[in-house]
Amino acid sequence: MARDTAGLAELFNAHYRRLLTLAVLVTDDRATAEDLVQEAFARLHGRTLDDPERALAYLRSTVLNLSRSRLRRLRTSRKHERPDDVLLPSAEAEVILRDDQRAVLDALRGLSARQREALVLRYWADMSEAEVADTMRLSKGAVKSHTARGMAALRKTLEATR
Amino acid sequence: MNDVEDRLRDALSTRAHLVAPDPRAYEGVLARRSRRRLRSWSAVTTATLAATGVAVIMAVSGGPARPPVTSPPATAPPTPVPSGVAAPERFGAVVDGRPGVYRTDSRSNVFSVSHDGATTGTIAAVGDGERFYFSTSVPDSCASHLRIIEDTDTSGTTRAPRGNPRIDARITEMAVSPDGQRLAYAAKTGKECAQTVLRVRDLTTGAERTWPDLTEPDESGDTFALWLSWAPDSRYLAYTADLCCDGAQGFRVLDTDAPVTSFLDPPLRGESVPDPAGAGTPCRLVAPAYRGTTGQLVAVRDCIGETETFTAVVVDPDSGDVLRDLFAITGEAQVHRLEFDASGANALVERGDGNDPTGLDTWTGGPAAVDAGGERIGYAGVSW
Repeated sequence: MARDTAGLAELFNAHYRRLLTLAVLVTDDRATAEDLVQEAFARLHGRTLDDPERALAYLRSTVLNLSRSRLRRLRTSRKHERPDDVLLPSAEAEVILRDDQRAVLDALRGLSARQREALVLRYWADMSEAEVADTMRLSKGAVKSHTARGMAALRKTLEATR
Repeated sequence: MNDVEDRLRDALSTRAHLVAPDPRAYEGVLARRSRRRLRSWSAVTTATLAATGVAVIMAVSGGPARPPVTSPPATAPPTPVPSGVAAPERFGAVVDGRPGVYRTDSRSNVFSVSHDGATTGTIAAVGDGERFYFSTSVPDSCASHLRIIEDTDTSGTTRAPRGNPRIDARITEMAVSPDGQRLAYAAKTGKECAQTVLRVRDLTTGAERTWPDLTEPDESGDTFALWLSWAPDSRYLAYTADLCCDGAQGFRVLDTDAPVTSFLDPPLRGESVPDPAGAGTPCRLVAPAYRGTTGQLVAVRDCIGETETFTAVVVDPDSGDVLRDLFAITGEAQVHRLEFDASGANALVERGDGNDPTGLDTWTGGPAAVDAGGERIGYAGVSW
């Protein structure tokens, strides 16, 4: 158990911040993101802890899956309201971001969960299509499709709000 | 690199820089792991004691003792499911919060039959689509209108709905009992339309019984009752009761003939079930649905870990135990709802990413059909 905990601490120190950032960008809710990332670390078990590369891959995928599940529950619970009412921007970020940055993040919020994940992994985490496919557990074709559709929707929304 | 890509990188990068980790976060991880170990130990202990014939009485603090649920026993031999039964021609669906009637042709293409594009609400089929009840939210109020759609023909002509009783709540889910006499609905009511209730309405007399949410409001906010499904006896009602956002998810079975308490009173089942893949991922049972007239209760086992998998499983309505797998729900889109036709031979699986402005909450299984906005639509005609 002590070895298990030591391994977990090492992984936590190495990756928590980046995983938290990923979750914040996908859910745009700091409290939810913290909850999900802590849950992902808590689910790591002995075998996964022994292999740091494997552990990181596990953590990333689990964070994304939990984010999508949480967003889905919010949306399904509120399906009688407009879908984009469900995600609210973070108060602190709203103060610091420029208007044009805020517009982009507002537009991102309106995308489907998969589209948002694909764009965040490509344009913030700088992953290749193959790496995104591996993280999202999808085919490269599906990643291409989510990315293209997400960018098209983003472009359309930003042009409409100009 | 184009302008939008540049802007996206810039916005994400700036947002990322605003994230500062809480120094106590690691303590949260350790606390969760401790709770997980304690739950595992408790489950093993209880199972061991039960196996050796020792009854374990778990004291539940607060509230009166709950009577046992005596819905149709799942272990009784199920009514045989006929083979080769064609799927119903018409079904109800909610698209972007707006209810509509759809039909499928022999190739599982989906057509909109009656769809009021302007109003939000929900829809419930009577039987296998003989007629439909649909609710529409009354703007700027916490109320709904109930309407009946019938005589929808296959040409796509919309007939004027008849009947228009006003309900003093915003209806979010509905289900008509198999005998066609009762309508169960979940709704938001009260101040700021924030209080959840579950009601059963006699469709002949209009009389209603109400099961409120008697829990103390908490910081996480709303409670919802979702995915209602009547048992063949038109008495028991299965549903997922969702304590929004942070609460547990599983399903409950309510005896609608018993004295009214709270819709959160029946025991929560399926909150945490083992992952059959053995990866240690906790799974939950949601979206319960009675399988036509067979008496079987089916739920969706949702396992979230490194991957997310959905499986329709037969469950014991009293214990919440998984009795057997029924079919795998493949594909990447999330599963919202499961619904069987009256024969139990066909299943409708409603799924989607939920925020696609162009298409349906979508369906899968069976032959591929209309592709709306990248999500496939079809109708499962699977026999088991």
